Amino acid sequence: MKYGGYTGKILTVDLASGSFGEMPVTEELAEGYLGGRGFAAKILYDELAPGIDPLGPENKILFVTGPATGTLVPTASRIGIGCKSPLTGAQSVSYMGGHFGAQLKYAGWDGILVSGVSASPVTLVIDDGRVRLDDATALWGKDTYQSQRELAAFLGRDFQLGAIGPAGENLVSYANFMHVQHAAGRGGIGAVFGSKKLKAVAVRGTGGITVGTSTAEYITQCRELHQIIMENPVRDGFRWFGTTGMLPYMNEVVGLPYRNHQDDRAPDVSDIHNEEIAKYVKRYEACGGCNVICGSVVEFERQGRSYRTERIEHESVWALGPLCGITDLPAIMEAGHVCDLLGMDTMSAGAALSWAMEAREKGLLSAADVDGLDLSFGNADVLYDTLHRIAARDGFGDVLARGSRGAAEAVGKGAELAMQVKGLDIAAYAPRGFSGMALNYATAARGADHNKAFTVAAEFLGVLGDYDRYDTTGKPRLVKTMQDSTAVIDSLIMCMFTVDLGISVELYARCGSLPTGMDLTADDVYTIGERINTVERLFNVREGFTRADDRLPGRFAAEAAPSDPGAHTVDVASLMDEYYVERSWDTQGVPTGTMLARLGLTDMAAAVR
Amino acid sequence: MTYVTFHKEKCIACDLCSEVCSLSKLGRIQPAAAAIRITRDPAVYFGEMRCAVCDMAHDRACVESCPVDALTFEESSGVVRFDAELCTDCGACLDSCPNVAQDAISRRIMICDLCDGDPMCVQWCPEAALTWEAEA
Repeated sequence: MKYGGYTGKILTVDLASGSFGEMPVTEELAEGYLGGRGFAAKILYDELAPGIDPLGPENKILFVTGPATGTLVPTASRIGIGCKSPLTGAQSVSYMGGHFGAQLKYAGWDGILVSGVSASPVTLVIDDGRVRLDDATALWGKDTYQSQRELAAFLGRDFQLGAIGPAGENLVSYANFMHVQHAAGRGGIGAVFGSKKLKAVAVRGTGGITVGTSTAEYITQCRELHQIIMENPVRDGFRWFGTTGMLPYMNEVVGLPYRNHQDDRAPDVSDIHNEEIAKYVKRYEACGGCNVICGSVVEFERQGRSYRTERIEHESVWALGPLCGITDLPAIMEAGHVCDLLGMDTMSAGAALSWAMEAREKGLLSAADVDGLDLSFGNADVLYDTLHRIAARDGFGDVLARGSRGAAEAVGKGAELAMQVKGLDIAAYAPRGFSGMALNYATAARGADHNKAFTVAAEFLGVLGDYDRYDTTGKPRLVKTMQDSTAVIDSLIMCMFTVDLGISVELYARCGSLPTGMDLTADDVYTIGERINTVERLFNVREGFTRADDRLPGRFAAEAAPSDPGAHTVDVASLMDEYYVERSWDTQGVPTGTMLARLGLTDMAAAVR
Repeated sequence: MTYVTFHKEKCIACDLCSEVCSLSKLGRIQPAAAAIRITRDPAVYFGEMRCAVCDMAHDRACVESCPVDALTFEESSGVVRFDAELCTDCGACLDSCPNVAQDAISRRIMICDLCDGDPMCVQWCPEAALTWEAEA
């Protein structure tokens, strides 16, 4: 490996035989896919046979870092965890911050590829080059924090840890993997861990990363990048309010989905205002390598139960709050913490609950169908109990454990009320309020993920452009280019927030060039990003996804949000031809042979014929 | 006498100090071998932060422990200097003080040298959790 920033190898783990090996990270892979999400796109495509059961032994778990991970490049501490998603059937990579990704690099590994199924629960322990599987029978059944605490007591303070909780063990379709309070995240990776009996992963690295730029120059340039972020006025919002700073403003402008997207504005969010949340803060926390410092520790009580946990994030406070018609802050914070303990995605949990609430409201589900739970919009008291039933797959909890789409399938009704794309539930930015985001939701390979192109920055915040929120002119190109540049952010791997903090596409190219020693340009960023999005698309095409899957729930084209004075709707179907043309995909959304050749992907063309 | 001072209530666990320290001293980003290292108590949720860095104010147990003068105190700069030529890798200094670290690759002993008067870690700390102060 002539490039800096990489360790040059991925650890392979076969849980069935308990054996370990190495997969080289080649220069060709680095040049074509850069790292992180790019590596995941290519490796998952190569490693996972079409049509496999996401919870069967053939699925694999791939941890990926990027060339910038752990190297002083701002915010580059993140790690991605990929698989074929049990929630969507598409390929899916979830990202988390913290200190796990950098530690894996220091241990000498760019990633981990886990295959097979263990006969009994195990913890994967990576101590530099020494790798072993420890018995985790005693941890099975314990929540994510208790599991990590017990591992810490045994392994000591130098290890970075992550674990699944009961939700992952019980194969909840949106179970996650938790590293302290950092979650990876959406798409049900935790259920794949559970299916493999992989309870936890611990990593300690005492080695180093060599970069492809001289030390003095590297420090100077990284310092400049840190200063750009530090001096950006948006940073102050993240620093003091984390991600919750935007919530009241999104609501004010009719951009915050309410009551399962029946409206895009809650009547009153003053109780969940960022300044209310800030009152509980005890200290501030950053991920490795980051000077944004959007995290914090809060302490609060509810109904005699006291908590010390992470401040709730924007998406979580929304999904477990306004999406369910709830604005009781301690109840929402408790529900977020319960999701963390049980190890499941707050967003899909909230979406499943809000689906059930609307189905109850519309009379599609009877009180008996939902085991007598009072699933009415606005009932904060139902959260705690229902979330535990989901993780335990107890009664109606077993229905909701399948996600909103799966729940509708299980009961045979309410499919039109499942606010999802490809099975992944829509995030906190109202599709009717941001037409570019709507198109991104419909077309992202993973499903309705706002972080695959944060168009709100260009459509509303005025950071990366000055587009009208509702007007669709130019949106297919905006979505395509942002999806492509975002794929590179996910490959370095840097934090998505840097988009709002003054890091331009040219600077992402620099963030890639500095550690690797490559000479990346903005054009390279777009090309690599296009290649990544195309390979992810090829994975889905091979799985049988078609143009029909690039859609939004019918509600958004048919009904305007009652609070929207402009009565806007959004019809993404009318934008799809233009989007496919921008992507050089054919009218069915399949990449053409010409564009595959242009991206050096001709060897993959056979799979989509 | 000056030394790097840690204010644990301000530390936000970003690790920038140990990343930049190891890079500037070793040419690699390697926090475990940095002359300043941040850890926290993992048995408690968001437990107490701890920092290992030479406080320059102790009895210089590392110098005392070294059997071959590989570690010496430099009066002019007020820091401990390491001489790799003399080091026998006996590990006595590591046993003598928890603030001493070793690079597992080069075997070099890592002790804060204040970056010759302008500590990188202090420059890079985004929260002023590290300061560089003169002892009264």
